[in-house]
Amino acid sequence: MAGDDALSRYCAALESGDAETIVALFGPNGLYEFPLLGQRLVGPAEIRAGLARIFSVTETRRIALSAIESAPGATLAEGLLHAKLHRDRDPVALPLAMVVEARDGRVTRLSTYLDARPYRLWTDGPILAAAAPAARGART
Amino acid sequence: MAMTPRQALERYCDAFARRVPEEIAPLFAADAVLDLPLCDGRVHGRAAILREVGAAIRGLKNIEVVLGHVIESGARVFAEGAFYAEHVGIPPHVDGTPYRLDFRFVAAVDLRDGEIVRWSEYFDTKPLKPRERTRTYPITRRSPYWQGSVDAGVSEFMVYNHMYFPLIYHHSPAEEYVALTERVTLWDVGCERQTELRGPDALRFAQYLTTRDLSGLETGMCRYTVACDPEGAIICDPVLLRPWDDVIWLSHGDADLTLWARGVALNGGFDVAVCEPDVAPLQIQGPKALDVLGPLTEAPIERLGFYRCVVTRVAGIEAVVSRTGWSGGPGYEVFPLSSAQAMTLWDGLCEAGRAHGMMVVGPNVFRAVEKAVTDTAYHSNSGMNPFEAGHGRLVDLDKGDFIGRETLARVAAEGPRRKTVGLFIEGALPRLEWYWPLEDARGRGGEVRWAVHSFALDRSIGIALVDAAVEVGERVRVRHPLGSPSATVTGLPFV
Repeated sequence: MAGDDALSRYCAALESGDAETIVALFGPNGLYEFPLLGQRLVGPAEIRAGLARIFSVTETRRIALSAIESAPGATLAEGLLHAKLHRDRDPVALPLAMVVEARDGRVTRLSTYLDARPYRLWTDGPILAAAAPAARGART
Repeated sequence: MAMTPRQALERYCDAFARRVPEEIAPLFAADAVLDLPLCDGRVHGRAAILREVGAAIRGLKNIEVVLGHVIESGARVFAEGAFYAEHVGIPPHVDGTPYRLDFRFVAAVDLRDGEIVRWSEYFDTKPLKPRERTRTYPITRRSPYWQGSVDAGVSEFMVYNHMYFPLIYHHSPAEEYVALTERVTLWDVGCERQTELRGPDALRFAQYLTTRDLSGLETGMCRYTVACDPEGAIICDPVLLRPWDDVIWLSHGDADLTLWARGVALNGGFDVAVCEPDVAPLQIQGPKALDVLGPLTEAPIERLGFYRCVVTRVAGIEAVVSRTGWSGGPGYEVFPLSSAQAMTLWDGLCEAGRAHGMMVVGPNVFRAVEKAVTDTAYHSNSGMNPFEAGHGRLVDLDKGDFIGRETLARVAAEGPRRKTVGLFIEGALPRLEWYWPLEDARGRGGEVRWAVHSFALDRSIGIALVDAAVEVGERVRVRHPLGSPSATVTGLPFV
């Protein structure tokens, strides 16, 4: 799977709330960076918990990419993240850029670059602690 | 041969790291746009981009830009990289660790005919800025412009005249310095309280309370003056305004001047009422101040002379406007005659200032030190008299009796024991949280009472109270919390 293909699948799954499809894109030590979560997530358990947090706080979320460029080793893209949170009255639209690195058909890093400063983070603490029941369930 | 996108990217990063904005300007088309999360919005045009980049470079040192993935396609290049730098003008942390600006980013750059037409950067500024403002307590008063300061991104207050005083906003000191010296700035100085003297003896009482001769003070005039205690020590150095015939305002620094004046008036036999009126000033400072304030003001303030004031309306609100301020440059103060519509005034000024790139800031101590425009904070806790402060010209011993006259006459006759000088201090400086002792080669002491980075001179400077025998050009040793740098005594102002 190439980086641009992974990126398209990620955006579609994020919009539909399909955490398992996103988790399956990553390799076992894949790195997922999304500034609104306030922390870097490594590996399926952390990524799954982070996505659970995203899906629990947002009514809707959609990434509209305006440009994608790929080269051996990486895909870079820019666009807008549209999201509506349960706690907020109004939706937000944040300019973003993304970087995907893939190896052997799996994503090794998906980094999101956006300015989270104007916003309260989408999580108020460690992801695994915030998603404790789900995380415990996944481990048992 | 025209630049490729990759070449443009690399030249920009290289010139930025070497702090050479002149090499960046020609890379951009005249109609280029710049999207940078640290800017307040999209920057349009080569000139504005150069201004923004120049201000950013001025406020950083030891810059390194490391590019990782770079993908070029047609007239566009995407790059992921890392930026590393140290802030200039932001004192180090308490343990001496420098304030850094380090972040990873993605840049998207579009070219047209070999020139950059769009430069967009994406990164998270949340870790780069203070998380939140100073928390407050109800016992200390808020300025009526409180909400405006909060909306403008204030992060730090000090307590001044028993009121919260917004000092530090989210911009870097270099950006604020550039806004003040090249454009225009708006300051919430509602904490700059007025001691109002009202009545037939207002002028006579002001003469007694302060050191400068006011006999020629006509209505509409202002004076910079000093109020001393009976021992000749400075209480504060207010700007005195006479907006109406029977009203004097002493616009003072952080001192209980109204209590002092009221106490003196109680048994002084003056027909005067002393109070602190509900007048909370704003300052509009910078070369574009008139462009912002003029169209909002009924009176023709373009004809208002230096240290003059006028009663008028600003944005429809009754106010006194004076051509005074604390920037050492062009600017005005606006004193609305009630706090009831203070935010309407604030909003009107912000709206008018938008076209001129006005920035909401705190008083700029960097510029003040460069211009040797001191404040009560310089004099306090020192017992300093006006001659020692370099304000001997503000003491008119022949004008008649005034508080402190006897002592000051003796100081004038004998010469002051100490004096105020400038210092060029080696190295970067910590934040001045208490006065730093200094000593010259002969063991004569003194103390640094103000110290900052000078953006005009690109070096550390200070203002010190030293033994009167210390001369310009002498070397002294300063002891601050992070070291003992040497310094050279110089005159004032610095610029």
